[in-house]
Amino acid sequence: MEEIILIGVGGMLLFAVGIIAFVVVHQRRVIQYQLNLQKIKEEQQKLLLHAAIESEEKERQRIAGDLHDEVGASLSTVRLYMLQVSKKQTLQQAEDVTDAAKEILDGVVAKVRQISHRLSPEMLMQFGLKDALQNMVQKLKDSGALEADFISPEEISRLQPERELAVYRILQEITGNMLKHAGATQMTLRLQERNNDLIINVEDNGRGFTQASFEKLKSTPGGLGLKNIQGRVDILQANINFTSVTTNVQGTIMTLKVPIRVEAEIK
Amino acid sequence: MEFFHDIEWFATISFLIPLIPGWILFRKLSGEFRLFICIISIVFILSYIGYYTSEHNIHNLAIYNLLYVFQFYSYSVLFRKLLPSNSSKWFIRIIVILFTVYIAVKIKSLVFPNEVYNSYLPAFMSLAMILYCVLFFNSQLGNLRTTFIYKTPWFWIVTGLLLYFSGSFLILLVTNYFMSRGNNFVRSLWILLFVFGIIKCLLMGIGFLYINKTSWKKSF
Repeated sequence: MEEIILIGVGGMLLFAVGIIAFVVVHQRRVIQYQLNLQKIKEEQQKLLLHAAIESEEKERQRIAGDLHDEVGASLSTVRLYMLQVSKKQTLQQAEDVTDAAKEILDGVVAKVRQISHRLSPEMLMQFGLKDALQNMVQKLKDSGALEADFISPEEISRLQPERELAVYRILQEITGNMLKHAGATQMTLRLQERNNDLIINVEDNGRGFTQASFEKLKSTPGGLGLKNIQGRVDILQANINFTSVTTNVQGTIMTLKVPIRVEAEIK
Repeated sequence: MEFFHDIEWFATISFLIPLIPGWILFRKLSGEFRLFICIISIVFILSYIGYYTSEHNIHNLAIYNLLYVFQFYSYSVLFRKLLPSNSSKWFIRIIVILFTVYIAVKIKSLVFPNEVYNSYLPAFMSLAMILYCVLFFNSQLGNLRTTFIYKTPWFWIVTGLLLYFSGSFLILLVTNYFMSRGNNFVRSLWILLFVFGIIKCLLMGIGFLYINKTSWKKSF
């Protein structure tokens, strides 16, 4: 009996020591896990920042290229035409040159408007996200690249202008990718408002793209567009999700869930 | 016999290890630490009365019953403050209700005890304390406020309590059985109990070493 009691006491002590050891080891592991997670997040942030800088630089180069190659060249041509006007002998000849210069100038105006629109979508600023997205879908449809539908309720809550612009840029990137990589022939853009969230679905019939692919590609040195999407999603405190049954021809459903009012605004 | 009383004396006096720094820092400590210092001060006084009466062969079972009841209720209050979750607070509430019902049923024999030691009361108390300590450690599993849990005072204090009550649970439970048969083995077991008491106080003392200037006013 005495021995059993002593073994019991020893067992209880062992139990207590076991609990303490478990707590210490487990807590260390949790801390280590948290540190690793933080490290990964920091690396991800660095990648996003790098992507943002790179993207901005590319955009500047593109605008510079557009201005130099198209606007600059066209204006130089107009200048040459203007110089020729004084040398022409008849009024008819001078009018012909002026008409030609006018045509080129119309082209330049259109090009400048296009560049300006790309920098800051006029529709978005004036009428809001819903109309801007509808316009974007209409343009895709008009281009004949694919059949596009836009579904939305009559009224949608407005976000802050910079948040609307971020959503618009994400969808520009998504539709751009759809045309470039997915080979889709049909797409539907659906806007919904649920509680405090604006939910945007983009569904296509192209090559499937999964959430796993998104996570993988945005972490690779390339994948600039996807990094930008993730960066904007983070800024918006939103969620993005890609679902696809297979990676063949089943299509993709992208769901973007954006809080209409973020915590800071509510406070 | 002398050795028994010596180690009992050491076990009683060892309460001074956490008490001295505790009272020195008392004004600068947070509420939970202050409560803890008050609890072990009263436990020390009751233990000393128990030791004194035992030394002079005075009937002291009522004193020990009072000590167990006091320890149970005071540590329940302390752990209720330390444990953040509502489920833990409810658990403590249920244990307190069960204990109170037991006290109410046995009140006469606890206040006016006969010559037989009541094992169930301290065993119940020890078991409750073990569960409280386990709940405390469970709440600390996801605690990210500190990188090293063993650098927090409460870790050492609760470790001391867990080791003491785990070691004493069976001893207190079988004391009645051995005493009623006049078996001297119970004295050896109580020597072990006193050793666990000294270890508990040493661990609590280590806990007070980790109360640095920046954490005086913080619980963890």
